[in-house]
Amino acid sequence: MAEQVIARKNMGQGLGVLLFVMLGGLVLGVVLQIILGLLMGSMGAALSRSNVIVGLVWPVWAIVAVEAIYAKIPPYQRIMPLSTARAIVGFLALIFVWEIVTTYVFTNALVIVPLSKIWAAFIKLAASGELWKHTSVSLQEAALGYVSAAIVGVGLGLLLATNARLRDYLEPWVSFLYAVPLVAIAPLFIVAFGIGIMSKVVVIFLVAVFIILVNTEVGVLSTDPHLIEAARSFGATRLQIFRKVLLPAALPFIIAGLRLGVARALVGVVVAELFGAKAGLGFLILASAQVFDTASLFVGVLVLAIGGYLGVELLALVEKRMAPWRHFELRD
Amino acid sequence: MPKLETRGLSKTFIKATGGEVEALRDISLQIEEGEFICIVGASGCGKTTFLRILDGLIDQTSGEILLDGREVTRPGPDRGFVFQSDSLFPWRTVLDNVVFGLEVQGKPRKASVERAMEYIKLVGLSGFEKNYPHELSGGMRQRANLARALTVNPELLLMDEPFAALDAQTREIMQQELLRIWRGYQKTVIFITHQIDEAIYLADRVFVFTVRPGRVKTAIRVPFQRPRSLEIKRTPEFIGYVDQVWKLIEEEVRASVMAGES
Repeated sequence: MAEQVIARKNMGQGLGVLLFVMLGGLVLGVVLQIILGLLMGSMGAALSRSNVIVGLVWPVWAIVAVEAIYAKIPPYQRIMPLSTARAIVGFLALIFVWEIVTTYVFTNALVIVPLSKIWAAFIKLAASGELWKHTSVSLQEAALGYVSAAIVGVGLGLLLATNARLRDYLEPWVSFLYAVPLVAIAPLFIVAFGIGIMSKVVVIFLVAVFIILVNTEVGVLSTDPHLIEAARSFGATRLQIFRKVLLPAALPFIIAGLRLGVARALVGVVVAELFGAKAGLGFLILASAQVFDTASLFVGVLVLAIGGYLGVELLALVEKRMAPWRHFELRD
Repeated sequence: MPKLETRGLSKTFIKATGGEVEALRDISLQIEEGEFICIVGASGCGKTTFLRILDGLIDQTSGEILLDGREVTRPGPDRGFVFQSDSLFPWRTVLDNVVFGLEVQGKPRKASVERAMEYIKLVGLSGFEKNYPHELSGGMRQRANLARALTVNPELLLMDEPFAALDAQTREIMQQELLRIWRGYQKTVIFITHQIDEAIYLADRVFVFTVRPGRVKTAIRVPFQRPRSLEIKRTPEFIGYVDQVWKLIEEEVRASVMAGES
């Protein structure tokens, strides 16, 4: 009982500390703004309305407070891990800095615009239904291209890994096509399959399929031979060895390949649409650039980025569920 | 009829460069039911090759293997193999590893799990059925390895230096454990080791192999009464046997070094 009470008290303290670290900067910024507004008359009031003081004070406060206070309290008192707190602060700090720099320092709206303007453009595009139209087109292309790349990549990868003869014949082509930047020939596919959805599906398929294929193949081939031998010593058939040894051993590699494929598929979406399309996020980006609507351009970029992030995280979750014995991080 | 008999078993490997390596030459031996055999020899004497041929993992070049008078050529449920390296499937829990052999044979799951649990208990891993191999110590992993081999109820247990990677204390405990388990089940065991005291502590007979090509140089009968406690390792008699085997192996190593120099 006594221990529980202490634990709860500690958590309470931790919550207080976290709120102080995260929100103290806002309070301090607002107070400073009000004081400045009172002291400096009309100019101070203008400064105060623009919230620039808060924007400058908060990141400095948050970083200093995380390092000086949050990092110093014992780990069991922390509501969230130190690394998470740092990540949140780092992410928000950069957004604050972006907003202020693009509003007051670097004001060339052709290159970069404040987040508030991107947000406004997002609301406008979303309200008119245009954003959803582009997103759904890109989503369709990406889904068709990526899913077929995943099926073919994993299937062919398994086939090549388990059939040495076939592998010998096809290996040169796989290595060659894996190395070629296939987006470079995207214009050819626009010519061949038209500016509709089909040409994009083909491009996305091609840029994503090889990394999935190669990862699958490597995953199977790098199975510990001792494990295969152990299965053989129990009299396992070839099919049983494939299902019970090779496939589970390759699973983390296959999922890693699928994650890398997501990133490639996104590049495929944009590039394929840049070379000729009627709709899609890549098209939105291109069309916005042509009329110097940088805010809308960033809306396209951010929606793509969020889509990619969600895709990768989803697969990470799948990996944790399906391969709990071996969770590791992979980077492109 | 002996439990296991080999007649003129030989193995020659053909290297990728075209050369030949004669690993085993004309091994003929007879092992009785329930015997505990240890094979020792200098490294590279082909003792692991011998064991792998017995299991059917690789083919002999000539000669034959008779188990209960029947010739064996492929891996089968009548032989269980305990590997030196940690060859547990990392994606399977202890229970699913131990049940693997029965699963491959297509036995019904429920009865297999019951059998597996019995052997998990026997090797002292109760309570760890749901753990993955990476969560176990080296000694515990080898216990699981042993349980996996025993669960298919093999006539002949083949063990390839299973305790080589363990620290000295754990190894001694595992030796004692192995004898305890073997006493209860009276399987025929062929156990390879490079630790001479391990061989003498465990075995009814110790086969000393020559250096390449591997042949049986001498078979030594170890007369210590069972059950054997670890204390016998400290007796002068035991040390005498260790000495005897040590000298035989030393002779072999010396001969091969001389041959290499001339």
